[in-house]
Amino acid sequence: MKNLVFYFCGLLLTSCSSSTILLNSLNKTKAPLYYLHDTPKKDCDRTTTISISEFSNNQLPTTTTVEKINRKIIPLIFYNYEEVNLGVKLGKSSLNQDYNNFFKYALNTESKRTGCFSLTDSVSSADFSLQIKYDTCFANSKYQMKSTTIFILLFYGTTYEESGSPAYSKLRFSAELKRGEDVIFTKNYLADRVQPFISNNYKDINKLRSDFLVNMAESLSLNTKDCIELLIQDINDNINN
Amino acid sequence: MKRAIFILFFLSFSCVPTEYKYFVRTYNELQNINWERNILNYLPLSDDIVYESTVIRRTVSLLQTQSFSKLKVYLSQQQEKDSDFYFAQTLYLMAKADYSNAWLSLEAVDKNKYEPIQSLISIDLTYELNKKRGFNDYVRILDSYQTLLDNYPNDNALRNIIALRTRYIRYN
Repeated sequence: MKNLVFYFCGLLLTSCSSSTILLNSLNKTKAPLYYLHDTPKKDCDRTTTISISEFSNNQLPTTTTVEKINRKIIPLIFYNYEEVNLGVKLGKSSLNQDYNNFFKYALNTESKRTGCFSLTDSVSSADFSLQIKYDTCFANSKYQMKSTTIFILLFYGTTYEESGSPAYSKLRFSAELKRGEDVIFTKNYLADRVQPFISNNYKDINKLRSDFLVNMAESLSLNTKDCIELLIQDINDNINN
Repeated sequence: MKRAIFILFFLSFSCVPTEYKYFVRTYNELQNINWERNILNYLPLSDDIVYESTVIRRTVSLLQTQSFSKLKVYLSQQQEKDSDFYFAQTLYLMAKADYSNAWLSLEAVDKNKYEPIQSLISIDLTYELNKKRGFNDYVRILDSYQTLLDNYPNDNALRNIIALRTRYIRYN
């Protein structure tokens, strides 16, 4: 009887604080933002210069948040099942690099590979100016904690399991290319991606949580890659016309 | 009784399997790989490399069946210690996760004889050895993979393999 009381008290405390436990654990690690530039290098004239005159992205949350989506409990006399589903939103605090700097660095690197122009810091001397304004930028995922307990007379056995889901990220920004005051083109770029989670067979729960965070950052990185490749292609098409 | 428990305890630890991280595959085999939900590190071997040397062919065949003890004996019986032998030994040591000795063995292989896999293994070993020393300079490693990829722009299998290496580093 004493065991049962302890067990239910433990269960209650654990379920109340599951989102805090996960958040504390996620806050201990930082995920990298990067990707492999796999587009074939282009050999073209890069004398045209472009400067980024404006880059605004305040869409990515400052901190990572965890909130409870739902909780399912099957409390039977001999069998007890509890499932907590948590929604996690990736924040800047969980990235080991500033997202905006990552974007600019990736744009610069990609432009050196496939762009028929070169990026410059000098706004006044550049042939074109580029404005980028984000209106959506997020990565989120679902995390599940499950426990099952079976009671046989005075004994009980319990299993506990955590698992991550594939991360979903979405980016939407508008880009405007100008020559002086003339608008050359304006376009909205949208990318969304469900990034498969590598595995759920983890022995170390901290590694699972860390990889869960990395999965969201990976999704965001690869979405950025897709958008940057399209943007450079469009700039190439427009500056040469 | 105490001794029996001690032996069982010892055996339970000694039977923990080695975590194999690098897998030798020929280019033909790589065509059937699912690259999406994957984090394995493949070591790609062209037919030219595999079929021109008996020691490499035998090594690849034994690695694919994970017959490590047979392979160890086979390599120890080799009289001729040429580039083929050292390269085969590197593959064996990579598969066994013995990165320090794999590095020494790779050093003994003639430069540029088995490209691009030789460069790929060199970067892999730099990463693994750095990680072992608690030093994870993934930016420099990624730059090296990027350079290798750019040197072989038409090698699709290599591109997929390097993309997986990027994933592997990301999750480690």
